[in-house]
Amino acid sequence: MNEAISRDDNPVEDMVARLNEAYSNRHLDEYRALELKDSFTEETTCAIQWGPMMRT
Amino acid sequence: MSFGSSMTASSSLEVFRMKEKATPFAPIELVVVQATSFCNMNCRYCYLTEETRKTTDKISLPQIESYFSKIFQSRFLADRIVVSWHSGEPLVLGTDYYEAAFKCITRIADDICDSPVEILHDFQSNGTLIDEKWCRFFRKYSKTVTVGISCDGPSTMHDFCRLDWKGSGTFDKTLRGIDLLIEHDIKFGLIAVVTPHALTDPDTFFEFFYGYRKHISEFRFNLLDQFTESGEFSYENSRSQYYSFLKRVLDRIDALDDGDELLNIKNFSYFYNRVFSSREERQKQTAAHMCQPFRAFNIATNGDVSTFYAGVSVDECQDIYGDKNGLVIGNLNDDDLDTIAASSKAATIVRDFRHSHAVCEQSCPYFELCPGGYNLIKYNRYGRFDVAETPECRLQVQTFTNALLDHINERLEQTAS
Repeated sequence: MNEAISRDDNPVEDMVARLNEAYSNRHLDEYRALELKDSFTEETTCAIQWGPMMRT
Repeated sequence: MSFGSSMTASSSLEVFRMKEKATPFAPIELVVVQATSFCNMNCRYCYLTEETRKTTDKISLPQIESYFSKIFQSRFLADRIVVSWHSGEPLVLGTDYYEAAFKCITRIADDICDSPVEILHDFQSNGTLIDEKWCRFFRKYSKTVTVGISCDGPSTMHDFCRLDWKGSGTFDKTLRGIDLLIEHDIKFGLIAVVTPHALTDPDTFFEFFYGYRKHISEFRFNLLDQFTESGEFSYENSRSQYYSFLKRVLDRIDALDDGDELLNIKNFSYFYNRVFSSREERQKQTAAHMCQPFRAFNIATNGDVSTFYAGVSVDECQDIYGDKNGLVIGNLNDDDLDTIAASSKAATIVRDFRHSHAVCEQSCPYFELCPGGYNLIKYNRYGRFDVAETPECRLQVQTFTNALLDHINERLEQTAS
């Protein structure tokens, strides 16, 4: 499996805008992974970067 | 400059916010305390040196009193702090140590702060020392204490790196600790490193952690970052493996029935939160924001203070500023927080990191979605901060972003057709 989308044709910014539009229009309601969006909390970890990379 | 201890935490915070544009320092949100660097384990990927992990020094109670007095007296105090006991195995010090430490920290806050400061505690543990006594402790402090356990999956994955000092796997001992937490109805976090074995077997990885979904508060994974320049474990090979791994985990989530509970995968929740939030909200999740000095305030066993990244250790970037002291900008045995904030080394690091972030912002199309902040990686690899992209960025950020965006996009296209 390869990374499918050419970022030259679909810059990240355009993709994000398109996904936000789809989200607003409720076209992503059935996409279960997006339920995780609302589980975002900062209870213990705050919005803080752990270590030089993404170490927790 | 100090506003003194007579100022309340909230008013101190207001004044701080007014000055925020003038000073790069953030209010302290997280205090990472390395009460001991000793560890009863010898994981292959540990960022602490063997010598550090064998040292039995610990922060004494009088030192805790002194260090936290300086924090609570400072103008950098937020109205809520999380104290994270981390970097070394914190449970080796036993419950009595933390009973005394918690009382001490609470008493100092009550004595010094005019308005209440919410104090939460968090332990990051390998889980092998959890027993009945620890479970009673976690239950007793359940409203203010959280615990995260490091576990890399089933034994075939966990025992690849997580070894004891004799070189034996620790899966059984970690699992015993997890089982005890579950028996005592204590929710916990799980943190996993994705090993090469896990990369090629995402189903087993997912199923193992999904089995704990009812007992855990959150799950987070980090990709093992020990890749070679070429060959089987090269960055480029790993990139396609990681992409497939992520897409498969997302497939598994997407295939869950409506009534099935989700596994709270924090990597994904952070990402979706960034994608589907306003630009202003996204700015609060940039590396520049998260790396603001003092937001994370690390105290090492010897009283050394570092910041910029939570839990950063001298061992992983020792001579970056030529003093063999990593990102250390002061020591709480000698300095108060204003002295530390005024250090020339802190100013140099702020300047370097700003430069690093600015280069990313100017040239990287992934910048808005990047948790970023790979400043030390840039320096370690290229000896400079003014570069935008590293192999680590391509793997950890770009491949991750591509996999998650592609997966949603494919789902959208399916829905449309």
